Amino acid sequence: MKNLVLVGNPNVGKTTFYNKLTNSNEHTGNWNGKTVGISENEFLYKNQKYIVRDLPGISTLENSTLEENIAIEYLSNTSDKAIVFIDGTNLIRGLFLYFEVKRFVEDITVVITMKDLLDKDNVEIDIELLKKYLACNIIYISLNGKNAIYTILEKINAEKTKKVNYNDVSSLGYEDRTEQIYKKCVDIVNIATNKVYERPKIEQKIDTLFLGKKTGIPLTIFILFIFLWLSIVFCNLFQGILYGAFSHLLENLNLFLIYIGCTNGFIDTILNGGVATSLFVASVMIPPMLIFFPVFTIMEETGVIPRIAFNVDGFLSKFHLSGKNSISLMLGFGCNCVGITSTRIFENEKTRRTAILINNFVPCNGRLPMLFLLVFTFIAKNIYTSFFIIGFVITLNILMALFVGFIMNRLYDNKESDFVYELPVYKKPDFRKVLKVSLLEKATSVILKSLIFSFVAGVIVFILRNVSVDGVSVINSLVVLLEPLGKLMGLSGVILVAFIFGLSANEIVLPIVFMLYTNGSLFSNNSTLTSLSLYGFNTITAICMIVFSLNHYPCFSALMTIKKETNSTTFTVLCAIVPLIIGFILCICVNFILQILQSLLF
Amino acid sequence: MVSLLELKINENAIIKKIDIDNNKRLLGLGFVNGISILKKFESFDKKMYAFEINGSVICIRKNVCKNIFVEVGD
Repeated sequence: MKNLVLVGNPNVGKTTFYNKLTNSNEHTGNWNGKTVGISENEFLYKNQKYIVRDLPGISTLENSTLEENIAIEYLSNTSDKAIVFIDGTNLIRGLFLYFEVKRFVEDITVVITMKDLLDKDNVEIDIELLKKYLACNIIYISLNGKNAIYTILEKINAEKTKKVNYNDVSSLGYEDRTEQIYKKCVDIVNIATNKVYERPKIEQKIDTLFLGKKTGIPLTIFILFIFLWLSIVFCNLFQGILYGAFSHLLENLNLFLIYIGCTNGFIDTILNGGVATSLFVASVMIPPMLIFFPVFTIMEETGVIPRIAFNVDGFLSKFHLSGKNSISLMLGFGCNCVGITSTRIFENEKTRRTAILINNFVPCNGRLPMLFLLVFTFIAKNIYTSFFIIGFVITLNILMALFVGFIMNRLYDNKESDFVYELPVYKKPDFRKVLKVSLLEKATSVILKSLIFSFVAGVIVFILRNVSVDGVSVINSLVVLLEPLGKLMGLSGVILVAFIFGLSANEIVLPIVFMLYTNGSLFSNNSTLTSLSLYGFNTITAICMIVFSLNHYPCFSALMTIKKETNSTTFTVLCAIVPLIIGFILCICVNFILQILQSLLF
Repeated sequence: MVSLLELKINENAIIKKIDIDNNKRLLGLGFVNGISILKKFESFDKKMYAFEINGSVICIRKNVCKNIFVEVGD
């Protein structure tokens, strides 16, 4: 058994290499801070078993960030062979990290990547000379090559690292040592290369636009605009089609079971409870996910996300937040758990906790489809008004998140954050990879998880609806109990019960509302969501439901992630209570205002 | 010697002095004396600046930039 540990600056391709080596699906993307812990897996090569560990991307090893702490802790207690990945287009920084790693690990192989880009720019590296300076084995390669993995594995095994007594500067303090090593790296690069790599002109021009004083913000708004527009159009087109198809399928399945005489309470519970709820969730969730994840993955791959962070930093600073908050908020749209984990990019614990709390106000993939469907069905008359209303609602909730962040930072007495962040080079998205990652990995796992949760919840609700105590079903007792509060909030007891079940997964709220109102007939008689109006569900109910769905406790998985990340039960409870209280207050106010408007207008 | 705030767009400069208490993160990213900065970008409200350094683009807030001093020219 051999142990390998992958080390390198952010975005040099460590995790991509790790995924290829071990057939894993670790999160990759073109922005710093996406690898937040140590990933570990095994692989077999030429009858030799390897354990490989992927460390988060780091620039130095000096306890200044969470990633560096993780890396130092691991490297100072290991005898693994380290593979240090160096971005050939940024040799100086890579060499600096090599010398930092050398302080902790003796057995190192350096992999210099991006050979294709350097060749294009006619940059030549004298590898033999570099080997003498670094006193280690060096592999110069492009990771895009088909046989890159095998070449690296062959060379790792072929050459033994020479033992050297490095560190003539180890006795110096960090500042002096860094300065000296950096100077040494600059000298080495000057000697071992014929010229310094220059970023392509096109990339510089794009940055002039994207980071431009007058063009940056309009471009950012335009990208977010396109993102939302595509999601809404796609969703509007396919939600109804899928709903109709699943309705037809379930109806025929029921008829078939009746025809073959296979009907009993158990089958009815599974089919019209679990399966029906899952199909409803699938019809609502699949369309937005099919557009959301590919577009978001393209934004991640190209390097757009950190540039958005640069552009919105000034606005966020008004709320004592920073551009980094926009990264965790954007990831929260995919899944709040991912957004919460991504807050590890914050160096300060208090700032990080604020980022975790405000992430709960972002409509995740469980809440977005519900928002879309309610707007399409009860509020807007066409796609343009839907787009305007959904955009408006999301903007309002982001502002609410920023306001909560502002209050939290005031309470924590957080000073203005020293926002220092690296903007990665632009990368052309590999569309095959984008589709694989976004559809086969992200969307499929999210939808499968939702289907499982909705199946279980559907069965439980179906059973509870039919289990009676003193002639009243358990669910109905709960509905009656919550009805006064529901009415006050512009909702109903049924909707509040659905939100209680929604703690397991937000996406099941709407099907449970539908199931409880329609007496378990999620798909019967070709009923659609509009049929809820027969039970008193109107535009005001829909608006209040949207408000409460965007402002209530996060789902169970998100709460567990908060507990894991902060190791604090009190803070986890706070993250559930704060949005809930805000949701209660907002719903009561919105309901009050809308009722007055209604009585004045009609 | 001028602070990074005063550096003009597209002006080359060499870092001469960094006057920040805890600058480990900046040092790790290559902001050390003698290293040259190639290009500067500024955000719309001039609260953020981005610099091309050693082939990377690093963005830094105004309050940090004012404490990094450079000498204009290659």
